[in-house]
Amino acid sequence: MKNLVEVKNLEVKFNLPNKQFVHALNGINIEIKENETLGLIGESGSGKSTLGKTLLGLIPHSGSITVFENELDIKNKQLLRNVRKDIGVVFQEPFLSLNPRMKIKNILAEPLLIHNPGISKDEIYEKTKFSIESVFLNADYLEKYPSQLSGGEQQRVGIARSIINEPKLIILDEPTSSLDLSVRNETLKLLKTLQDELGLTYLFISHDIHTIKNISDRTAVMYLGSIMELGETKKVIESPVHPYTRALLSSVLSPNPKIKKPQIKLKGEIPKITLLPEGCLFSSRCPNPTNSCKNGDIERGLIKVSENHFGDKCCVNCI
Amino acid sequence: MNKFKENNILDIKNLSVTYNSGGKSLQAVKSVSFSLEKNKMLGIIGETGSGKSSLIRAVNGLIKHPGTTSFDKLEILSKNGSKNTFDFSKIRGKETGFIPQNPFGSLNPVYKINKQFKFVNKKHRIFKKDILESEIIRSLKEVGISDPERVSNSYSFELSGGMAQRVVIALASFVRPKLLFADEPTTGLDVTVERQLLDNFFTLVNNNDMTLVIVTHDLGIVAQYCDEAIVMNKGIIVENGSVDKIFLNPEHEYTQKLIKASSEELS
Repeated sequence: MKNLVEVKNLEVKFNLPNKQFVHALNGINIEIKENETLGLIGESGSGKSTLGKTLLGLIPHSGSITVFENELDIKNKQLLRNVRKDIGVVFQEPFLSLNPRMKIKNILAEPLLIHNPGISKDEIYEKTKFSIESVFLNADYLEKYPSQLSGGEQQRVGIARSIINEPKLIILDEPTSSLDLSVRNETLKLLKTLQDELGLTYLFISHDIHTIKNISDRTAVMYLGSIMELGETKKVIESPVHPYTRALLSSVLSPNPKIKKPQIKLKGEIPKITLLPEGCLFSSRCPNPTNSCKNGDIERGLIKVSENHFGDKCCVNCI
Repeated sequence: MNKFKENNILDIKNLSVTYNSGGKSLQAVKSVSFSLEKNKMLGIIGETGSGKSSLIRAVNGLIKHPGTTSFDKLEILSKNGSKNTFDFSKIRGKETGFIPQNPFGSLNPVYKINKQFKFVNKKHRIFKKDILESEIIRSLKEVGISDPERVSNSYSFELSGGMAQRVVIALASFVRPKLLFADEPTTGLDVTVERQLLDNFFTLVNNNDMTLVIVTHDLGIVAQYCDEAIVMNKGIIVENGSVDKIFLNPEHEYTQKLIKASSEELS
């Protein structure tokens, strides 16, 4: 399978006024394969959304990002424009990401007008109608305002907008986290249908393990701006090799009162992102860290533990 | 549930909440009746707009104009209200505690945390001055804060979300209320933090002989921690009963759908 996106040694730092840095991403190596759904999971501040934004060329970075065989350079505006035409984005808050003063038809037409200057009115109508019907809303919705729609319908409009330019890749940044349970599953089913029909590739960012389990082919677990575990979703969830993944999975409460599982507790809290631990990033919370984890003479990065399953080089030895 | 009537800590008959605005009125809670025994933990489950938050706000007398609350019977800790009026000032904050949803919205940003504990004590006069400081530290420790001295000397905006939520729980349980209400106490927290906080919280409730009503959209919390459950939809109680019955043998179609949605595998 072809790789749509290749990320090598990606680092993102944000400057703070007091000469400190927020180390948002620390050495990410990952690829997104054509037609797959790659899930990104992690707690707040782990860098999931930053990674998504960096792929869109919205944030200055060091290291290399290759999107559709173009090396991303945020100074090259023409290149960014070409690349962004093929990337759709769906945001977390459906209502906040739709302009309340625009009708749905104008919201959907905006990306068309930006990327296809000189497009005819008939063509716009045809494309907006096709995309709204692809998300199972009828064409009457084109004349409505976002406030007239329910949360689930608004998110469908968000999805319709992301597919209107026939992109190859869609970045979904927590698309279902503000939706109710029953609507959430409908939205996930819709995304799966669209993926099959239109041959889309998804980068699915979420903090909800249940959602990731249902939609992702492969899953990456992020902690402190770094990937701790990566692999086929089934392997990551059923036989995690990283202590952080295990703790994360054990924290999920089962809706069956007969299933009681104890939480694997981690020490302390997530360290300050301005002051990364030396050595292994996870050393401050690891259940049995060795001296070499803390001293810093370890290699960061992933190591293969089985077919299509990778874990952090340092941490897989600690358990 | 009405078998042990003398043991009931909460008894509600036909409670309704109506919001009026611009000539229109919306009934958010429609003639709801239920009762709760002492030392039980009740989970109220429902989706957005089901009226679950309105219900427990009404039971705490927190529905403000233009909203109105009406009921045939409201009995909290064997104190009775006459038709549609109930004097909340005698019990609220002292015998009942309320944990709101957003910790930063309920902590005052201009006072340090220990000052806010002192306000609670000033109003209800439970602890003497000489033990007050140590009681604050004890209360913060109980909710799983490892460095209570630092937290007690901080402002709310200096705390993380999980820490601030712990402080709100400590504040609500500071004067040892008999009945505690919590409105989505862990929404917006990360799973690992949420799980630890829930463990601390339910240990606190158990150890101090409290009764708890918790409102949540997370079925897992109710399934794992509560004894009784109420499922609400569109302002009415669609089903109530023991947690085992609701989660393992749900009778109502809506409950079945909800439970299926939380555990189903998409194909």
